Amino acid sequence: MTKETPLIELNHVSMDYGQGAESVLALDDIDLEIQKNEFLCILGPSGCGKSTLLKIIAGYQQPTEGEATFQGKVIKGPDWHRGVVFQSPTLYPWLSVKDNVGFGPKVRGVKKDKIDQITDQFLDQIGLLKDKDKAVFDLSGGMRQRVALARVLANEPEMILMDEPLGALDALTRLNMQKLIRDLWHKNKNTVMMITHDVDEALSLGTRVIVMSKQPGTIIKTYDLDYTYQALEKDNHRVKVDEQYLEIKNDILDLINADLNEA
Amino acid sequence: MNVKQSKNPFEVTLTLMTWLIVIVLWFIFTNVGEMSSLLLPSPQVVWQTFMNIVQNGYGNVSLWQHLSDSFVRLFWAVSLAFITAVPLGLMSGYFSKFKAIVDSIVQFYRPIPPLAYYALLILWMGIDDGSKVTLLYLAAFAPIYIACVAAVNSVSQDYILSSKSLGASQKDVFTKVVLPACMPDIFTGLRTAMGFAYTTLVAAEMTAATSGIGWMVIDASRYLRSDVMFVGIIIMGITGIIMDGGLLLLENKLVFWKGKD
Repeated sequence: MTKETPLIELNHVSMDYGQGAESVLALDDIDLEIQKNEFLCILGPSGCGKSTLLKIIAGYQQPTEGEATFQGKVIKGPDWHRGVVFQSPTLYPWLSVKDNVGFGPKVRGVKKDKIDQITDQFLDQIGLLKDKDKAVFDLSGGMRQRVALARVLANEPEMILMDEPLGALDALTRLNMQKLIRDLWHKNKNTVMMITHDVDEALSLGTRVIVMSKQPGTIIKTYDLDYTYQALEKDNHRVKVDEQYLEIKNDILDLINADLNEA
Repeated sequence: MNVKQSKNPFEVTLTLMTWLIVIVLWFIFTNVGEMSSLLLPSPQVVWQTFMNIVQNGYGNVSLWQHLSDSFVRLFWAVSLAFITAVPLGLMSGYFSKFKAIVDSIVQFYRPIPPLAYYALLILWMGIDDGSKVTLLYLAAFAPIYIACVAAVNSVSQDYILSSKSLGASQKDVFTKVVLPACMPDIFTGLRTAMGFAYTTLVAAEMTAATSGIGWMVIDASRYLRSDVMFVGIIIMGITGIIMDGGLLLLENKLVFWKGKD
């Protein structure tokens, strides 16, 4: 990977909720760079501020200190260059599957036949092309999350932010979704930042994994990994669990547990 | 998740049986006992009176004229209420400063029984349709307005955030996300308003009118025509059900996603 200007840059970002004695420091002095094409996974116990970090990058919240930049410019609010996949799918029930996927291009003023082409392309990628005229409430939880993913992809954003997107799914659906997300990331050359509380998910998807500590949220360790590339090359698209993998996994679990016991 | 269940055949039978028993009891009471037909007319008499009113009208006005007079009043009032209460309610939900101006006025007049200020309206606007439509308008306004304010406040924040991250402008967020998300609640408000206005309508026609289905009942009472009163009351009940049923059908068509997400 060539090191150009990072896509996202966080400089000494801190986030304080509330005021005076009741204020809670959610993030403390975070420095982070995200390069193009990276798949960054963020792990940490609940309440470590990982969602806050995502909200700052998405533009939903402004840091109380420091600055967050996207392509060198300070992030002032949400825009379509940084798509967000939420834990619950947030699809619009008054729109069909196809219209949900086409929502982004439509509000951006893309021409109608181009929208049709884009929606077909991404519905095909998530394997739901045949369901394009269905109502979203007729889909299962996993299918909805796939549509939510396609809806973000349809904008071809520079960056995709995912906040525990698979948290509400059952184990088997999760595995399939992980494979799908990995394939789409690779095929569309996206940059992804994903929050998760599943260590295996982080190790098998991320090119880089960051472990955060509980309040105030800081980055305690970073791992550069290539398991996701291995999985891409293998026929069954699963990560080969070797000694090193288990060591890293244990290492991460120790870090998180030590941090939890300290508090 | 709130799934609309269709009624099963047994429950439909129960409902029909209930009405059958009511009518049979009514028949027995009025035909066997010594019940005065002035107090409780028999079903046959009510039916004959109904047919008579259908053919000859009541008080030199045909039944259809009575009904249409009532419904034209209702239609204008509820339409006006809808057109004004929806934007005002949505604005109040959206902008807290706007709400600070409008809300207290609505909250003040809302609990007052409409008939309490009807006398004033008649004083200002006369006994004609103007005062009646205004009365019904005020009755219908509050439920729609309140439903709209509540609807905006209950729109999922994630809907709004996700649309912004998909490139929606402030205007898109309102027209393409907030407005459709509010539709089911607005419809519920409309149905409540229609019911409330209908109740008020009958009361208004009973106070001052020369036509209308409510007037028919109150006029008949002056001549102790309890059979006509029965006809009027039954017609009111049935039209009320038909009206709400019609709105329900429309609701299922227009906000088909209600309760499904």
